[in-house]
Amino acid sequence: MQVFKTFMKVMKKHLLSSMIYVTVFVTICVAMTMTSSDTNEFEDSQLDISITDLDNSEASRALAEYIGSSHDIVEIEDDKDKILDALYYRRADIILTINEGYSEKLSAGETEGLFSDYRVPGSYSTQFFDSQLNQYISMISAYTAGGMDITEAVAKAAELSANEIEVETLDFSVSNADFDSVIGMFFQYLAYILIIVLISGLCPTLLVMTKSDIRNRMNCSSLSLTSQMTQLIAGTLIVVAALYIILMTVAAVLFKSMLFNEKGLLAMLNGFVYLIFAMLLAFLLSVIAPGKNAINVIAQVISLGMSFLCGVFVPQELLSGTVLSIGKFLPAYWYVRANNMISGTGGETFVMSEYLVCIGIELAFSAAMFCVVLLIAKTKRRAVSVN
Amino acid sequence: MFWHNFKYNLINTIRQKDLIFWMMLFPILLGTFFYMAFGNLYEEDELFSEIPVAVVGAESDETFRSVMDELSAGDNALFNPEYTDDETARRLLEDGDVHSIVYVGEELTMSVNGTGLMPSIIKSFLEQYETQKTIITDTAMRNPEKLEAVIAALSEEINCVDTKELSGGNMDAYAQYFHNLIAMVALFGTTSGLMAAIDNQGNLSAIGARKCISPTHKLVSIITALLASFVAQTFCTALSTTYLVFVLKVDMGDNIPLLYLSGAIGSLAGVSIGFFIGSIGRMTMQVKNGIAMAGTMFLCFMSGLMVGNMKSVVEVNAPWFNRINPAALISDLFYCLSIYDDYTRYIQTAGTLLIISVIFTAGGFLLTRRKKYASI
Repeated sequence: MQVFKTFMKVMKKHLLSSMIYVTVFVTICVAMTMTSSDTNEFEDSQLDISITDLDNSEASRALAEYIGSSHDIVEIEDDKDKILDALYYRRADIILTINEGYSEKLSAGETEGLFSDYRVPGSYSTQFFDSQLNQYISMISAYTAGGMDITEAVAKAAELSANEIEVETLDFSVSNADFDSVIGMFFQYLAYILIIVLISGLCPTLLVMTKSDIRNRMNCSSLSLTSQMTQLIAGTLIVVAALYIILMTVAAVLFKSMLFNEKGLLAMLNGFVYLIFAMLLAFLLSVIAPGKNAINVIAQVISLGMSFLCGVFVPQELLSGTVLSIGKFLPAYWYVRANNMISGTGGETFVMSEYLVCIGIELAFSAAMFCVVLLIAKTKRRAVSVN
Repeated sequence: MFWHNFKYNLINTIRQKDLIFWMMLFPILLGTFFYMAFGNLYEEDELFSEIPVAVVGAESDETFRSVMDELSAGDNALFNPEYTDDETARRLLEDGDVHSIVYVGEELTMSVNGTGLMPSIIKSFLEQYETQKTIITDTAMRNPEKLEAVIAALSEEINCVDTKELSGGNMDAYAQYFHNLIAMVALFGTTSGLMAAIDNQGNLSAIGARKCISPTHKLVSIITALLASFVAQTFCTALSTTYLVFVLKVDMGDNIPLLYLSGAIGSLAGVSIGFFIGSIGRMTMQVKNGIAMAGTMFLCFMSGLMVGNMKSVVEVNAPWFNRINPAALISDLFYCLSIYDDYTRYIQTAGTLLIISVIFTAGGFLLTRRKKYASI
């Protein structure tokens, strides 16, 4: 068991960085679970709007109330930098100022210059807001033109705005009450976490164990090559299994029964198949053995690159056709696709045969990876023995 | 002696060929992936273009159809309607070709298969149409002599908002992914900083042991090592900035020299943080590097590298963290250059990063000074 014990000792030293990734991931998942809300019913989009009322009249207060009834009112300091930040990071969609004289102008039938605002130009949200604001102003000016005074017109407008048209939600995907979007997110981000943790944890350990000095020392011992390899593989499998168990325990604590129904189990299977790929990828990197200092940078290139191309961080539905076509050549794409089907993300419907295709492709990637690992390892060993 | 040390430290850094290679290749690869993934997202996802909608039963209300057609004509069309039957409309909705189905009848109703701004805009339009109809019917019944004035008021084009220009900068929120990419490259300077620290510690590396027995002052030895790491890192950061700005043509503002300066300041922060981590304890290079890298990724995550609006979430819940998170500060430098017209915030942010660099360098130096080894 010397090889196994040494493997574990070396692993322990490299555990800290892997644990940082896992801890951060778990913390973020806990935060997400606590703040999530999930609904399938149609709701009007709510914009974030900041209102400064310079008119401060009954009519302007009624308008602010009208906007507040369908949107979130946010407080943004009247400072150019703060306004710019809020708009850039979409903390606010519109920074609206109700100009002085709003009420009087409206009573006189004037509509120009009632408001001033800051906005992200040309976006859907501003179009939506304009449409609502224009409707409101149009109603009031029509009522005042019809002879009502401003107070009556405002009241009437409020009354009419309460009449909403009927909206039916057609749900083409199956019900997702047993697998909500947060658990879907958990499994989606797993695609990044598994790769980064295994490469940054396992690779440096395997690199140490396959260093020529250590390998030579092991080879001249009485221990057979088979025993050495078995112990090394056993060590790796235990580490990989431990990682999977830790992550699934976290999922079980966070999502409870959602993990143990049919969909949860399918997601776990998907995660497990992807875990095999991630492990083999770590193996591949350690047999290619790039510089030990570069391994962390390579881990980032592979994990981040694959995540962005395959829809881990940016949903697949938002990615362009070209990106998705490239993504299809990477296993993370199929992992995310299967996960999207399970969680119904992006309107995907769950079809068992398609799910199995995804799992099959992931396994095929793993098999290919396994062959490459064997090939390179063998070529390298032969090169060493020739020398 | 200073330049002699600097020269060999620089050669030492550059000869880490695998690291330098990946450090240079990394932003080019990831930048290209980002560009492919987000290149057109802002235009496609956020900027308004006509909304596809299926309309069923439009023949029963000619007025509705003519209003719809009017709104769908010209360059600034609001909708792109498809007049069809229920079955086709449902198929279009399921395939995602339209965002809503509008049913025209006694009353207007609509069907959607999810929430979002586009169905909301359609709904708002339908409500506007219904409201106007109600107002006209009401007036015709109660006050027919005012009907003309009311219709005139309703048909008047309303232009009640005076939009003020805030900045001529690039409001594409996806650009912040590129800012964060450069921040990450700069913070990868932690690896070179770590090497500088470890190469100066006798108990951690052979070269460190050699340096310890030389008469060169430790401060000179460390400063030159850090300077060499900084130069190499700045080169990598500058290369990624060049690739993003000139090859991928990411809009980061017009002040090109300041873009490079921002990269250099970020690299300085990265190297000094790496130097500090390298000076703590007796862990090996790989272990320390793993920790530094995981820490860097956490900082980058909090600054929005993986989830775009993360910096904004942090700004609302824990703004102090954005003021001290080096990744957020570095990406802020690029954000300031692409958005702001003045440089006040840029100078403040750059100042904070310089202070962070000084603190970590001084901390690292305090941890490593006056160490003597009886036997290694």
